[in-house]
Amino acid sequence: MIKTTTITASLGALVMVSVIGSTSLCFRYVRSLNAVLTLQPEALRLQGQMGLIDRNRAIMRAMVADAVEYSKRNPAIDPLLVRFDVKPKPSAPVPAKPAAR
Amino acid sequence: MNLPQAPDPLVPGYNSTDVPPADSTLQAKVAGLDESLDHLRRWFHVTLASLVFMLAGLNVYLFNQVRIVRRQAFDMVRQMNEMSEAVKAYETNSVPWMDGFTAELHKFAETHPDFASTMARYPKPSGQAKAAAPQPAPAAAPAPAAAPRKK
Repeated sequence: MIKTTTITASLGALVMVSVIGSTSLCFRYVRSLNAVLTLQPEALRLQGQMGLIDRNRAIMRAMVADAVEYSKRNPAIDPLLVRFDVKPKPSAPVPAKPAAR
Repeated sequence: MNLPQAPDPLVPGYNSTDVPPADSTLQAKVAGLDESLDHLRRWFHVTLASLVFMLAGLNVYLFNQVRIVRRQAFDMVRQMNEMSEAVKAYETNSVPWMDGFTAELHKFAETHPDFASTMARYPKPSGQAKAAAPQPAPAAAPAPAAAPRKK
């Protein structure tokens, strides 16, 4: 009889511990899910901005490529490209060394 | 259930001859009840044990779910920090450069009609870089920022 009571009490205690654990885990799960759901709109907004930035950069890349291509036909644009670091500064001509005797 | 009271041997005046003859039907009923009680107790234990196993499984499942969701939240926060840093870097470094460069190219195109046809494909700086002007970003931890587009 005592053995039976001990088994019942042990099983009851295990059930209680498991229920407490499940409740705690449920609480943590809901809290984490809420955190994710709260962050989601902000993440979507930032993703949209990143898309716009990528688009703007692609436009700029194309514009720079066109300008560099144009500079091959008309070097008048070169100072502008150099000023914006699109083209490297033309190196100054090295003065010719006097011929060694 | 009304069971007949057996005479108490400790009560004065007890006489063993007072014990009524054992009722076999009653004894059989009591034995049956005992057996049923044992059976019921056993099933109760089995049910409790099953409940413990089910709850253990549920706990394992919930633990995994919590871990996954927390990792998702952590990744999301990290990505958001990186993105807001990149947007800030874009706003600080790239936008002024892009606006200035585009404005200068358009100005150049006004004096060079052959280049104007090329620049006609691109929008004026007033509406271009502003399209991605960032809103106030959330508090961000230090994160690697995207390199500004500059050569």
